[in-house]
Amino acid sequence: MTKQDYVKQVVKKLNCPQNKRDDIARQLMSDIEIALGEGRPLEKILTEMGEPEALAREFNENFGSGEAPQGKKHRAVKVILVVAVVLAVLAVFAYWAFPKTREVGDSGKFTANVVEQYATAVVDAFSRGDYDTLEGYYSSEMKEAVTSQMLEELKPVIGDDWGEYRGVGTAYMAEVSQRGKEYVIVQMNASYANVSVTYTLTFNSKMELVGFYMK
Amino acid sequence: MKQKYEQQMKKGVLEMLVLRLLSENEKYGYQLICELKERSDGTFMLKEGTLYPILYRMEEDGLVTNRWSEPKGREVSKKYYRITGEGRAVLTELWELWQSFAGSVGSIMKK
Repeated sequence: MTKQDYVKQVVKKLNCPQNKRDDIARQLMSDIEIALGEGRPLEKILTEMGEPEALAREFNENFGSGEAPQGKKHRAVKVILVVAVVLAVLAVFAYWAFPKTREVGDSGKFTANVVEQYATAVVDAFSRGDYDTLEGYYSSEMKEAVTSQMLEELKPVIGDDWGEYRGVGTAYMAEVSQRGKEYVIVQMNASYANVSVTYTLTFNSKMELVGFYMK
Repeated sequence: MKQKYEQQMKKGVLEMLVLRLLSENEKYGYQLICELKERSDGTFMLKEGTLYPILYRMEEDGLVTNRWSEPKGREVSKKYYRITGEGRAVLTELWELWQSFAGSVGSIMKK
């Protein structure tokens, strides 16, 4: 056969990437040419090199053993991919779990003036000591956790006698989403004869009170 | 049967022998095969299928580098392999290891 045929037959059976196969083809051809240049007949050269299948088989055996460079590279790529996927999953989870704030109205769940009305109603009820009405705004968890007594005991922390309730100021609010649930946080100043109190209220998407804080 | 075991035993030293030949000069594949045969009196009849994977591995490990020669006139372009500093260090280690092996093997075989 011709030297081109020989090399082609060898390279066809090699188990390695194309660029390596091209490189080997080039080297084999070069070796044959050198031998021809020394005056040796082609047939003898090819016989000494061996059957194309045998040469390819030997190459594949030796290339495969001792973790061929390709094996190492493939493993490295696989590891990087797995790490990237794990990081991506963690990032998505973190995004979902951690609270994110937005302008009220963005999610479509809360309307600014409705939220303000609720917040005002809560502050009014609390200020007048109307705990029954206040409880009406609570979520079920809040009902279990907070008693009117607890709230009563909070008042002296700010001042002994708050004085007459005068009303509320502007409400500042933001939406928060956490773990797939939407909340709105409202901060509102309320003035009394003797003190000024800042309320921070948290409502869930059902406009139930889930958080109550004041200072 | 015998040849398989013989080949197996010889395979262990090939890297060291190739590095030794390269430590003298940069050489191309065909040249390495010829020299190995001549200088071992025919003991080592290395084939391309054995040599090239060794050279690829050593290159991957930084023990050798290569370049394709620019053919002048009717010359054939050849892929020359050259030993690196790392390669020389490994060669020294392997030679010391071989000698120590020979001793250990001898102790077991002679008992």
